[in-house]
Amino acid sequence: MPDNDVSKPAENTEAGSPKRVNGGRNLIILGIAAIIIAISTTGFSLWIYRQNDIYLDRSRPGFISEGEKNEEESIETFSEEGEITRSVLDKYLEELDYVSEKIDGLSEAFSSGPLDDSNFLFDEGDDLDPEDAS
Amino acid sequence: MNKRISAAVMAIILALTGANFSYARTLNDEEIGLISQTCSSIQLQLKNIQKTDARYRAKLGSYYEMINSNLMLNLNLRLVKNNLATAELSELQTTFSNERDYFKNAYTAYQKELDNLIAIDCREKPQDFYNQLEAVRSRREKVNTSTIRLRDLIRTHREAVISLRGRL
Repeated sequence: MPDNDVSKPAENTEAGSPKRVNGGRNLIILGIAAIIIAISTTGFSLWIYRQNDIYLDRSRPGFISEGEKNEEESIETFSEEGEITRSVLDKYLEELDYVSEKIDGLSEAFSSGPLDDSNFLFDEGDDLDPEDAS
Repeated sequence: MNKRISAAVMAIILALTGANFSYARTLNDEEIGLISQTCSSIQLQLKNIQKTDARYRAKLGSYYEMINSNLMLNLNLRLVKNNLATAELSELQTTFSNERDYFKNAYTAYQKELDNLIAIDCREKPQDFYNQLEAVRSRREKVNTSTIRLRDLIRTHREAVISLRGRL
């Protein structure tokens, strides 16, 4: 009758001496290895995230509150079909001027002002409001 | 002779890599003290600037997109279909599109430098902070210059359309 007792530790008689297989210990090693792999792959993913430009997407949820987000503005899309007449071009210029004025309104958006020395080298007593700088 | 070759090689490397050096002045003791003392206010200020910039970037980006895709591109397609295409308007659209890409990249580079600036502990390293501030200023200047070029391109495009209208 064959010995089917699974509770008995397996034996490796190849080398001539019996070798016990410790299942509990192997399970712990497997668990630790899985945790190490998970941490390292997560770390690597975050590293890639930081290296790329995606984290600079300040419009992502959470960076700018909904109230502060750009209101959806759109203009009538100029059709690529149809004839070209003076009135068609007048309408085109109207749309162009509308957007152009919006852009002109932001002409100082990236001026050097907010990063001037006067905004960084000030006495604490000056009570500069940080909002003023932006 | 070797020095000349080395200098030439360095110049070529700098030109190819587009290296961007900014030279920050050395702060005096009083300025170092001011930055260290007001470090928390400065960092708050920089974060506010970062948020404001993000809003401006989003707005300008959408306006440039409207002009490029909704207007310039479609006008040129319509002109082609009517056999009225002009090289000037086509080139302006290409230049505008390229400049818009430049703006995006310049803004990303600027934000990276600004992130690095915010990460510096200005209380402990005021001179390093100031050096990095100079780098941020330089990047911001590039973004600003790009917005000026884009506005100029829109004006030139408008004039070209008016000129076309006059010929109809």
